[in-house]
Amino acid sequence: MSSLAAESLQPFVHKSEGLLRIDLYLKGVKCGHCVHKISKEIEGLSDLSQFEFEAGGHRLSLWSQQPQVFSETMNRIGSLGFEAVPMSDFDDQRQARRAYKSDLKKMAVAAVCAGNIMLFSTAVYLGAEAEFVRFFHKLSFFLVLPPLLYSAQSIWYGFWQSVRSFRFNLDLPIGIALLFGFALSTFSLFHDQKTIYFDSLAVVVYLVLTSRFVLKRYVANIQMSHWVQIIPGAIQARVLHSKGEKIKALNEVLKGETVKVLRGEVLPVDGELLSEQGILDEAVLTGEASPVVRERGDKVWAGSRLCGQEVLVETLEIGERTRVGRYISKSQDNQRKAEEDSYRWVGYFTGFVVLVSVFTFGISFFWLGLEAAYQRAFAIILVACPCAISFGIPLIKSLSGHLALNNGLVLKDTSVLKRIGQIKDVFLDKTGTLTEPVAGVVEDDFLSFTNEEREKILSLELCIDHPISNGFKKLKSNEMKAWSVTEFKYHPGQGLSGTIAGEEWAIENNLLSENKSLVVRKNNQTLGTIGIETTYKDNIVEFFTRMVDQGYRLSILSGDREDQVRPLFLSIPEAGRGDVLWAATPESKEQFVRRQFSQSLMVGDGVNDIAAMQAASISLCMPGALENNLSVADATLSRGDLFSIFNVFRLAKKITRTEQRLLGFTFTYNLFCVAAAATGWITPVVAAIIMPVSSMIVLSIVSLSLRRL
Amino acid sequence: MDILYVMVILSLGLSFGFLAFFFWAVDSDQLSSLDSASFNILEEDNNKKGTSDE
Repeated sequence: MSSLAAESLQPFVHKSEGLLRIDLYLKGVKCGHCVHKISKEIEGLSDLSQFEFEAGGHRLSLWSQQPQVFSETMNRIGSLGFEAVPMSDFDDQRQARRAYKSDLKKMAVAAVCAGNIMLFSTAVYLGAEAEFVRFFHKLSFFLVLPPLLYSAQSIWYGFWQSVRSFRFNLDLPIGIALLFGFALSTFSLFHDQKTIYFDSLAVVVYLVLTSRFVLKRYVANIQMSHWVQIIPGAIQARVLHSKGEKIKALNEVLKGETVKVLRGEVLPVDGELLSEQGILDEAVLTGEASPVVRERGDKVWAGSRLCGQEVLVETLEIGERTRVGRYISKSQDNQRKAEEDSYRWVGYFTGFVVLVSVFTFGISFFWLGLEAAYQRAFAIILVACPCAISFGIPLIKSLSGHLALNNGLVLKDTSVLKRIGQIKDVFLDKTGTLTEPVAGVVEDDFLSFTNEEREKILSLELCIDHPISNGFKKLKSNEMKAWSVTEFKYHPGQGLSGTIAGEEWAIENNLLSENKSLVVRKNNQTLGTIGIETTYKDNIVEFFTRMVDQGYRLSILSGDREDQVRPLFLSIPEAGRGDVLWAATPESKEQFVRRQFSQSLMVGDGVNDIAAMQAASISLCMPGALENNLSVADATLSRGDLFSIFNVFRLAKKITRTEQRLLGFTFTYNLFCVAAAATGWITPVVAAIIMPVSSMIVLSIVSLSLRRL
Repeated sequence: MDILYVMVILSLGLSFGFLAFFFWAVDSDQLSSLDSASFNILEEDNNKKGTSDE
């Protein structure tokens, strides 16, 4: 490897996670198989510490301590026939835009040329004079060249990849048909024969490109509509520019743009804080329910909720590149495996289609002549579509993680959805799982203060959105006066302070002691305490009843005393009452779970339940820091709502049903359409129209089936 | 009938003219932020004023 190449990469290398990192844009990656090939090629490089594919395999990030290994990696990728282009921080968006524009132009060229050729063909079919027929054919010859040479580049690229790697892909038969059709038509043009298909060739190129473009946009839209819900409430961003502010769709926000976020809103992007200070609830990332204070220049993360005044944030990352997005992407590692499987099946399918079309060509040539043989073989190639396996099922896999998330569950990998159907026993931890993580405010203690004191306590608490403040909100009545609070300060983990009507007020947390309470102080003198009590989650008995109704056996494991656990256990309907364990240690919980031979689900809060969770077939963690939870559990609840589990049961069933529906549709479609093409009922142009329609139907089945649970 | 040759060439010229116009529109980013347009209708009037002449 030349040192010059390594030096030329210098501007693109930056430090990340204690290592050197470079981001590459990969040209020519079309499928999971390409990604697999590149992974295999570069995973042997010993100096390469880590690599990660993103953006459907188009983006590759490399980490290493040796910058020389980056150029070596790029060479290896190049030797496979792909081009790796180093990217600066903003290049990925530019590359995507460039690709979008290029797609539009290629389609436009194909459309204009195909449209004109079709006009000439119509004149020929309607009986134009021989002189004009020759003229129109010659013009068509010139007009078909731009679609074939410029617009169809992506088809030729796929064709070449397929030939090089001896693996079938959908571009191979289309490429063969285009080459053969062009050669035959050109030969006929110069020998005054009738077998001229310039019109079909141009129209097919246009339809193939358009259908792929529309499908790409459609899939991106479906994914985006699920993606945006990862960061609930963040479908759009309020972007500032020189003339004011503009609301932008999240996928159109550019890195470097300034986003304004109002109190109560969720940050739509990862970024750097431009305002003096921001109070943020970062529970989605850290699991810490209390808000934290971020200063100007600090990194802030998408998914955090703003608890204080409005802030400005400079955008650094968007969508799946955000920190929360990356956790979710990591949680779907097995998706690439699914794509690889699907592309292997597409290969078999394409091989089969080529065989059928060659066979049809041979038979038709023998009985009906060259023209009919070519028409039929070409129509088969165009109409056959493995849409369910090529993108239907991979799309379901990709969406299932997002769907689970929208229903309150982050999955470590989507295979959990397959396994969850076999669960019989459910073990529930008590503290933190069946009880609220933050307890309610004892109303009697609050009422022991004078009316004015109560108003001031409430005014101070309501300056911030916080789990304890939310407990106070329930105690607020309309008659209560709202006092103005100045010099408000939030002290994470310790409490609040502020000045009200010239008095210094403070509410200090005393949550670690046995009797959890808040201490209220005025001008440094203690006025009293407000107790905080343990409460069970809402509708816990209804939850038990529904679980039992669905055939699950419930057991409760708890470190608490018998008198605290038994009444709760007895509230489980008898038909589904399993076992109960009180005064449990982490070890006894694990042994308890291991004793069961059936498939089991353990629901815990991820701290003292780790051993028991690992002993169960599937483990589910209560809300907490995503990263920690996913390292111990198969799934984590993103909200504290236990009822989300029912959504996941439903989702698992729905996904199985949708997959069956897709395979059924694809099989029936191919059976009828290939038969119709082989018998001459479908012409190549009609086939090129039907095929994308079938793909759209597959996508619509996915989209409609999984839209609602 | 020779006029047909002229007409054909003219119509081809016209369609390529439209193609050139489309290329210009793509290059000048007329088609690159289609998703945000649907959100603009939801903006407050005072914000619209600021953005309408963008």
